Amino acid sequence: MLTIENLEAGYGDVKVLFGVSLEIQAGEIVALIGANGAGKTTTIKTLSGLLRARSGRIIYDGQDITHWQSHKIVAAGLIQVAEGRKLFPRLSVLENLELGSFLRKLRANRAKNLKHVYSLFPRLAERKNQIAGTLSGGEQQMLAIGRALMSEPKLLMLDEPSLGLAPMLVQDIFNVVQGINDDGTTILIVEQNAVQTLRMAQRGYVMEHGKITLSGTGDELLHDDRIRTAYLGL
Amino acid sequence: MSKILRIVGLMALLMMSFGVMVTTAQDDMMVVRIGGIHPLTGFLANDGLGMDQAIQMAVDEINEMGLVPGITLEYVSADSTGAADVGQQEAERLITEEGISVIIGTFQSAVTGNVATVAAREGVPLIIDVAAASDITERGRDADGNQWTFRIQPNADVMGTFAAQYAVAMTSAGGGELGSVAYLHEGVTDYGRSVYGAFEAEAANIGLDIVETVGYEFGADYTTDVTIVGASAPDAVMVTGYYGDGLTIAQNMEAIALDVPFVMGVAQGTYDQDQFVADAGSLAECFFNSNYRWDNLNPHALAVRARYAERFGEGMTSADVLAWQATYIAADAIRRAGSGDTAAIQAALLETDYEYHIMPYDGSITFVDGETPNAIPVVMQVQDGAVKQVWPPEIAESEPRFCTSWGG
Amino acid sequence: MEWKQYRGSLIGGLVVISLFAILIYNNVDWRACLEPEAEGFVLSCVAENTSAWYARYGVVMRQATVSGLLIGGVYGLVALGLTMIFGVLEIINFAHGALMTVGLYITFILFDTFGIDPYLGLFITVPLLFFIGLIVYRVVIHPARDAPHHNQLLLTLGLTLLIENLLLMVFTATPRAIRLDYGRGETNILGLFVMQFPIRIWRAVITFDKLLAFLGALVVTAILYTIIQKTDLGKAIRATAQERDGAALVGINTDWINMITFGIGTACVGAAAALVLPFRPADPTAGNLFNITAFIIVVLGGMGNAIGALLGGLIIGLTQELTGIFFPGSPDLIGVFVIFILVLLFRPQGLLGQAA
Repeated sequence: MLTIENLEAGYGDVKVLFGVSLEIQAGEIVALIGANGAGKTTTIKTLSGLLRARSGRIIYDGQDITHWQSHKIVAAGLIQVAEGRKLFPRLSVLENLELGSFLRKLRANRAKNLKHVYSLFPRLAERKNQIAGTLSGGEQQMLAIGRALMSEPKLLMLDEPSLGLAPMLVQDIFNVVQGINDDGTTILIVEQNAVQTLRMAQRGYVMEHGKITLSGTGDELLHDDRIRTAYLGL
Repeated sequence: MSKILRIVGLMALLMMSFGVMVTTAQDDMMVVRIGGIHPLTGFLANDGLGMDQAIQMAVDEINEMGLVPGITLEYVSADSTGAADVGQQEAERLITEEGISVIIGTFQSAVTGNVATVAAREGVPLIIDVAAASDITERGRDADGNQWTFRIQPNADVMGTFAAQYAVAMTSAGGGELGSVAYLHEGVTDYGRSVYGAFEAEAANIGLDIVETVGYEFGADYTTDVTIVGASAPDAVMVTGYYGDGLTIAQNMEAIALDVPFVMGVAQGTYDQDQFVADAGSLAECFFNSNYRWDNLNPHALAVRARYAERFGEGMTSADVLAWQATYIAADAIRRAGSGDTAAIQAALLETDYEYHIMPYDGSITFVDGETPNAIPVVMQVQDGAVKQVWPPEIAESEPRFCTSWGG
Repeated sequence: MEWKQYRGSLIGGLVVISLFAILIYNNVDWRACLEPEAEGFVLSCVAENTSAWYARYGVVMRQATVSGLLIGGVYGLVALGLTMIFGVLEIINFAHGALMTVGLYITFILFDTFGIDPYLGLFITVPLLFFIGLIVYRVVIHPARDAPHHNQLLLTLGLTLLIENLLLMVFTATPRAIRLDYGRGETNILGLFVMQFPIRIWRAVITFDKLLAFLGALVVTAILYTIIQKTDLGKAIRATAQERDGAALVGINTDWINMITFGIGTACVGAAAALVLPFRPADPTAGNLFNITAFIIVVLGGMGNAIGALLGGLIIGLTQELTGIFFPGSPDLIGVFVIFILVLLFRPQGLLGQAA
């Protein structure tokens, strides 16, 4: 479904990605793990078109989307739940969700999708008129995922969805992600919380210094000694 | 666009006249160069370009008629851009590089002051066509006290003083008595403040009561300023300022129906302009302005303005007329000096006694301490859609009317 | 809506009230009431003197208030355009006032050459300025959108000089005024009823053209407010202003929103220009005054806030008029700058800060 070949990208004079290659099959959950600064978020940003690729190719659904603009990538169903959530802080919960289906072709299904999101996150229904900036961290994460679902993702990319959340909430979020995948949406998830992520994921990639250094099924990586000492703290 | 075409045309004309000069001048004609400094670009360009054209026209006429025997005049035009330092540099350039024998200019007091200083230092005469600040002629003296700057327009002191006298005399002549005036002047530049200062001094002299003074800042609306003036219930309102603010003030006076049948500009930029009548329509009626001007009763003045209008396709303003007149004063001095020698021309200027001018002055243009003692302003009024001279009576085209266009 | 958003307006309001107080303190002869030979109670004497002063000069204060509010509405409209551009593009557009000058000349040409009434001309001026805004964005702003802030500032400053000098070349410095042949005396309002102009409120006057400028500014502000609040385009604009990456991630074309916002902001000054030309002649620098006040209002009223812009406009208009009578002969903007400094002191996050 998604193939990345030798992707290079960075900020200003600083290069962060040095030739990243990975592959995601339709229906999979793929985990991308690695230390802070390894280039996980940069990879996702480049996939979304927020950063320009300097070289390499991104093939999505058989199309070369390397130089597409963000809004076109979103229209193609490649949706990101960004690190730090990137919500609209002074708009209401409902307005945030509605903007998730901003694109014309999504508006017809807006009511149906909204119902679906509210069924996943009843809290959002309760707080639909609250200003997003005043929500708690967990609620904001729900809203960020809800907004992404409003865009009818084919491939959903989650960047650190559990960051800063209470352990109980983390489990909730993981359950929701699993549910979304069960409904047929392909998932690329970036996480610090490697153990839980690898348990859920069919396959995983390990990133170090802007390169993929290891890949395998979730189980293989969970039992790899190098991974266990370096990232899992076991 | 037409302005640019006109400039190009003017240049072409200049080049052609050079060509003619070269063929006719040969050895028997001496060339003397006259420099002119005016704002040809920048925000006063409209005024400066007109004055520049007027000088060119005067030079062409003088050459054609051979008014300076044995000498051909050549005009070198320079752009002050409206900035004092640029004007000063241009004066230095005209003197050292262009070899001019006399300078005419410069429309703005700040620029003229600097040019006067340079001219005095370099020993080149400066004839001021327009610039009001009174102290400029003093700055135009060299270390030995020789006068190098000469002015043919009434200065700020004269205009403020005469306006006070005229206002009182006009009212008495109409059978009334002028007890109090209110004064509205722009409080930003030297011009607004110094004209008001002279008026105030003369008012104190002749016992005229100034009941309210508003020094205004340039803005979008002067209704409140006009209301302040109206609240003091004066017999007359005096205004000093530029074209745009003067126009808005007139509209604001109409809006509050200012109940004062005597509104007069003092050296003001709006109320004696044909453009005011065009812009403001019937509102312009009844406004007075005491200002420098040509003598509209003098047939020569009418002929000069007609020539200008024909040649340049636009009306000749008071400032243009003064620039034209200043060129004739320069030519007269060059004729008597017999050469381009600057000291000889300065000596000739000191002896100037020129009676063929088209200004409304009683007697000749002469110079005492660089000023023209006979230079006076005249009062004009918009009457039936035309600007008429109404005071002093000797040169009046019509009687002053005390009224407002809004029927107050 | 939090009150903090309106802190700037609150400070401005306090300054306006103190200006009134100082005016009375300075002009009423209350000292005479403290003299031993003064008759009656001190307070009643002061009240008497105050009313005597007010009987004569009250009209000045009422006129200043009315004039200030009327022009303040227009200031608010100009500021609204500026604050929208700043909110979305984070660009301080110094050329805002110069673009208004362009609008003034367009209105003048429409009237002078084609005989089109300036109020009818709004339907030409506003779309035209919108397109000029789009072009300016594409040609000047867009190529520099990633440049440092100070470079963008210099760029818009340069654009201002360019516009002013082009206008000077084409139109010269002569002020270009128009005069409506209606709006004085009995005026028929759209064939519905007849009104007498100027309107007099206790001898303070409201002229037809200024009333229309004020009402027109209110209407345009209300329309824009509705667009920003209710339409999808408005939501996309607000979303982009609040969280640019977030907007891109829901499929909003943020480059396109930039351009549209710049166009709308510029259309605001187009409307303002058509509304003020009947009483404010056009010259190449006519927009400067509106530019300065707009910047201060943006600080006062908060970013991208239509109501804040309107409130700020009214306060600045009032302050300017009141300072005019309080310090006769001093620059009217002194009071406005006092407010500016106070707001910066109490709202130190200043121009770039956002209320959380």
